[in-house]
Amino acid sequence: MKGDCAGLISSRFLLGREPKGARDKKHSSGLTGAIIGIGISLVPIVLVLIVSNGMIQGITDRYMETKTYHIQVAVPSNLDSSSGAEGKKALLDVPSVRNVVLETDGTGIIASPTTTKAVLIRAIEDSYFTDPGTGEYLKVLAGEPTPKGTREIVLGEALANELHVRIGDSVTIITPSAASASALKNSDALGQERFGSLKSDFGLYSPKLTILKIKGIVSAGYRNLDASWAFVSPEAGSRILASEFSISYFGIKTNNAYSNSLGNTRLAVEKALEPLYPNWFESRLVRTWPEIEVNLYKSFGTTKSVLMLIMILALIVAAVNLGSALSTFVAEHRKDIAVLRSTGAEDSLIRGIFLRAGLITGGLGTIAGLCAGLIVAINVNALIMGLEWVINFFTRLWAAISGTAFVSLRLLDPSYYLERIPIVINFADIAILGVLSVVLCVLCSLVPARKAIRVSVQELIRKN
Amino acid sequence: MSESSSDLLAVRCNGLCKTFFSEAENLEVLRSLDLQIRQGESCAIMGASGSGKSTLLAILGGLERFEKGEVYVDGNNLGALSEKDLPRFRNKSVGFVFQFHYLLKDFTALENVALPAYMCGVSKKDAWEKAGSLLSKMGLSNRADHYPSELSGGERQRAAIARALINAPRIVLADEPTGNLDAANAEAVRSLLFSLPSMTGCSLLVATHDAGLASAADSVYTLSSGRLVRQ
Repeated sequence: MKGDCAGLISSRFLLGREPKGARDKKHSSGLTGAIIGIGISLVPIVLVLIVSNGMIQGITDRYMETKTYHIQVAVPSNLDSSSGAEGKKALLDVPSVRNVVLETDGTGIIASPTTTKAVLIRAIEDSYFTDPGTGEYLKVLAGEPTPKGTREIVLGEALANELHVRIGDSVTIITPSAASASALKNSDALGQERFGSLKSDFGLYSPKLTILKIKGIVSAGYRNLDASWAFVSPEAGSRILASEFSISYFGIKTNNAYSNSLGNTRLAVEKALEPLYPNWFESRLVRTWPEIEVNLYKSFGTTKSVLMLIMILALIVAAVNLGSALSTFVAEHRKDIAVLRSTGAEDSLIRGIFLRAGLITGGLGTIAGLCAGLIVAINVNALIMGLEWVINFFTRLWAAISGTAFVSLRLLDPSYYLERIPIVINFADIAILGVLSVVLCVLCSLVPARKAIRVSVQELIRKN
Repeated sequence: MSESSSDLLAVRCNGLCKTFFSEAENLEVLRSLDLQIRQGESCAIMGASGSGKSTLLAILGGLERFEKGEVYVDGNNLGALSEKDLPRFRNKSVGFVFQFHYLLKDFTALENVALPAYMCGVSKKDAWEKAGSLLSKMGLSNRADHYPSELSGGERQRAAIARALINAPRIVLADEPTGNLDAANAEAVRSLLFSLPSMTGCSLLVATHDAGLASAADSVYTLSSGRLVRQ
């Protein structure tokens, strides 16, 4: 009952019901500002939350579908083709597994007539390119995506740009030769120590040069990936990559990559391979996508947390501002508080009135901020494009007037970001943010509420 | 807390002393003041400005503390009531009428009258019904849904009197209740106030400069040098 009374008085103090013309609007302006402040502070938080979730998921999807697969099983580099085929068959029988690719990776140097770069050489089967997940994220920009035979190579877009090469050009791949491989074998590579002995003797190292023709240029839409890889056929891979310098694995695509049941699929994969390869198989050779790029995903999470922390500081400032506006609100209602106290209002009622005022104003600001933030976030790509258009319009105008060269601006340069920000709305995050905002507002209302219960009725008597 | 011998007395003060302390001086407003008001009795206190009339009303209403003496109102020993008990005492035992109406401007006359009942736990329906009935008695039934700014000075003061009566207090304390009114409205409020003891059975204590208003009371006192002198 008292709660209802506090709610009634609080809402009337905030919204007023006085007839038109008689109302003194002054007291509500501070709280309107506080509501706007809360709302405005929430917009960038929602935007960062949604955009960072989208960016992280966009990058994660690209990593999973074009690089790490959903599950990897390390196998010996010298696994013969019949054993590989047996393993693939067994894995394809595992529920939820939709595709299996046997891949061999090794590092080398790629040289064009103008420059050289370090490169990850991926000797990969055609089924990689026909997988729908790969197809969704790996776009063919020129030529064909599948290298054939032993003389073709497909490059990532950023790598091709850095090498200044096009379709039909030749590049030279420099890799450690098989003869000297044992001298440089990297014992840190997962599983490698099981598959060969290490005898450090750098004096035996000699490079192997292979000339390949560029068959296609592809892009995953993320520069970090496009700048580091080159695809060759398994046949070319077996010639270029020495077994001691390369790692091989089954890349497995599943239907439940984001589900908790991925762990069950992993166990099923272990069960399927254990009887096939009793001599070398161990469960530690099986890794899921979060384990493969653990540092990358940790850095995403940390970056997001730091951004959120900074944004929440703005929310705290807005909540403190609300507390300050409520203090003014209390000061404006000192007489009303004194009247209520003279009629027997208890401290709890007075406190409740102003805590509810904080709850209402904070709640309104939170709802407005979350709605505005969602609208901005959902339309962030269009907003960025619009902003780009406006900036480029005035830049072009200035270039025409001043006679200088016009340089087009791209706010989201695909060289560094995804070309388009994926919008991923996690309503649980939004709800937590809303609750946090309201709780902060109520906490910041405690001080003005405390001031309110200190208002003395004697003020009324003395002013009487 | 309560005193059986005081049951027939709405107010009993013995040796009441009140001093305002400040750095410049200590102002002794009430000096061993004695007062008794019977249930249903009306009483007026006159005195010069600053003589302590409002302070006495504030003490009797549980708004102000005192240093010495005994004060019983509606059987409650005010000196022994804790800060937590005082709001309930103000809500149940006394009703205040000030010189200025002090109605809350964002509430209608009906809501202003109903609030003291609603805030002490009476259901909204009952509080609103009771307030409507009181406003009818005050001749304001047709003004119940009007805001204070839409009421005349007299109507506002009558609404304030209705608010003071909503919880059926043992005593109504009125501090210069007609001070802000024109003669006609002052007369209407005067007759309304002094009809309260017979209408509701409550006692009435009025502090005023107005000898005409005071003359309507059963007993009239003058507060001078901190003590009451019966007229």
